[in-house]
Amino acid sequence: MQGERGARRGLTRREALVGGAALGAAAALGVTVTGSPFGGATQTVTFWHLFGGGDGERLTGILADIDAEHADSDVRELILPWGNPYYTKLALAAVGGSPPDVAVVHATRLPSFAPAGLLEELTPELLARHGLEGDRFLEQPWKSGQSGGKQYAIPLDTHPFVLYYNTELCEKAGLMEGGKLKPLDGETALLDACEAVKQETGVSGLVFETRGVTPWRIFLTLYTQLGGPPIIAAGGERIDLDDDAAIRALEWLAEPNKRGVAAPDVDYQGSVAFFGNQSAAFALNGEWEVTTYQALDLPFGMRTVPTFFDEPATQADSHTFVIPRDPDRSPERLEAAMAFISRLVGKGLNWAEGGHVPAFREVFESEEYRKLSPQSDYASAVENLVFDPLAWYSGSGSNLETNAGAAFKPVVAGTQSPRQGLATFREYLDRMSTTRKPV
Amino acid sequence: MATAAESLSRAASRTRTRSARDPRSGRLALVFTGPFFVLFVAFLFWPVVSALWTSFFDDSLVGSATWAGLDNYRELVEDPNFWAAMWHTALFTILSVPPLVLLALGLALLVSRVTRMQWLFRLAFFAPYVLPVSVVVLIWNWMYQPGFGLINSYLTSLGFAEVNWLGQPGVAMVSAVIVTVWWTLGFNFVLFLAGLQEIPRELYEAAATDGAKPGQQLRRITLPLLSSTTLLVTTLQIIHSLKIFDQIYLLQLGTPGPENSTRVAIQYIYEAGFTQYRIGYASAMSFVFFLVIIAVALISMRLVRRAGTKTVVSP
Repeated sequence: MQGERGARRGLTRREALVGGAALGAAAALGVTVTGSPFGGATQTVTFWHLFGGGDGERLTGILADIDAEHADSDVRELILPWGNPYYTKLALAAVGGSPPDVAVVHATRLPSFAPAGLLEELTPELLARHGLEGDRFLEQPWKSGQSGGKQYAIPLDTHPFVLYYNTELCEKAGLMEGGKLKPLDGETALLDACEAVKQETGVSGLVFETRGVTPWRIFLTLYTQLGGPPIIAAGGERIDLDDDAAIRALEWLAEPNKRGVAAPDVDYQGSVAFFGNQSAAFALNGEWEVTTYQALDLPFGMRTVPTFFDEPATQADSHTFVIPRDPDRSPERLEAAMAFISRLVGKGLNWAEGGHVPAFREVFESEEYRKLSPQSDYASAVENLVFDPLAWYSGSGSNLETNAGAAFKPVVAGTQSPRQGLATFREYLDRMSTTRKPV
Repeated sequence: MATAAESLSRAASRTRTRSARDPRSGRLALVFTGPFFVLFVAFLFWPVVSALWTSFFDDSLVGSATWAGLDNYRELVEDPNFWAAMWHTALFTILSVPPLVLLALGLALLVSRVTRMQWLFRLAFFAPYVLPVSVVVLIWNWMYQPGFGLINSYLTSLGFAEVNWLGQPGVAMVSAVIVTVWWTLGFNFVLFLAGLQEIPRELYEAAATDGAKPGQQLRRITLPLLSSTTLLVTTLQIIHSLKIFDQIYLLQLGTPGPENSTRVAIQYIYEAGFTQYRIGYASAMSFVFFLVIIAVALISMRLVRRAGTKTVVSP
């Protein structure tokens, strides 16, 4: 940790003390400012979320609209980088008794919050008072907000894994038909298409992030398409991984590289750049990069992940709103927080422009959303979603995703056999399932 | 050397007797050291004691704890990932200390001979050190990219094969070492340069008059008189290398690296404590790691000091 050395040399003890005092004063000041300045009429709602980039900008715009439309609450947003650190901070804030009033969490991360008693239960009466009844939402995202039979989260959207395609390159390779991509179902259709692209245009067929969690997302999609049962059961204590399905999924993952149609071994940013500068005709990724490519004026389209095997399935997760438990929160503030969530959910169309599939039925079924292209071209994915298996060590950006990604990466790169990759993954699962639950 | 040490200890005993006689200076000392002592106890001593205590519990970040006795320690002894991470830390240290010491020494020797525009070289070699780690990793991450990365595009245009800098086991650790050498070399370089400037010019003049060649001057004058700096730089560097975490964590985006080949000890401890909420287990691993660092630091100091005194003594 060379950085520490610099910090120690650069900061004298006196400076640190003075800085600390200033920080304390600022914190005290902050508290007085956050307290309702209008004497009860306006409720302050603190809101933590993890949206950066295009999503972050869009959300800030939506929040400004809400603030302008409603004078009764004052929303203070705090943007934190997403991933493991975000969830650790949220958990610690809740344990420490000073959590935000509303926070965004991935539905699959609920098992590390709800059972530990860190979240406010959303009773049917509370939900009904704010027009947030379950039947107004798509079923799967809504159910993903439950834990132990109780509702803890309200879904904003679903973000499925999709297939991006470059329309120009696909046109040259004869893969287009009436402005849309020809059907690509079946085990080898996409791989054959990649070969056609490589032959006709010379660029790579398929790109996806290999150094990260994406191999896991593809794996879970394929594994479920092959009829594999949920990998983890009993809240993380039992492993039901089906070896045959897993091996076949991993064999598919090794195929692009074996056929020489894969882009090189890249990290996430690299994979986005690769598709963005037209060095690959297809990209497998979450839908959230749609605005990135639109900003580049890239000729591209999006569709659901093809059904490579027996049944359609697409890896996904939902962004949901939760209310972390705070014993000091007044009932008025709780109502203000719920009202805020309800307003945000209502702005789902705005949000959908960023690629996420709205969870609120009225938005999902609206004409405006249907017309949104390419954002609604993969909306049918919501019929066959597969979320990460639930455990205290799983979920979006979790340890399980990282470790699975690391186990499968050598298989993708062709340096290990599918059997070796599976063994590494199983070893990890076995260790986690026998570790005492910290939640 | 001996006289300096003697006068030092004499001075120390003088102050000791005075402070014993004069009660005011004792109280004054307390006033000056008090604030630091409070901070030291609150932010260093207490956390260490509390971590040791925690390591005997099944502590979770979000839940209650139960007594676990030596369970955490038993688990870490059998945890292959912990020992792999310890080995990766050791490997990083083995790979990074020699270039960081030897290259810094070499550059300092070269730059000390430059008489005109020396400031430019000092600045050039030291400049990367002032960058924050996130910036350093951002720069190198793009340079290491396959396909369009700077290094690989040079390699391919020169007719070499591409190197998978960040994605290949074995290579990934070397890439992290390269980043670290580029980034922190300047600090050791400046220390060596300062040490070189301490050596009296007359010695070289006298040696030259006696007909000593540059190589002999280097071996018989420069290196022996620089030995205390070398001792300092080497020991500091070993400790800093053992604390490796940030560059690798950022370069590998928080993953354990290709085929789990770059996850270092602190990263594994961080994962256990802050992503799996297992504070008890993380504390136990921290303690084992802490003891290893102390042991290595003591051994290396002793080894380097012995080597150092030998060169000073030999004529």
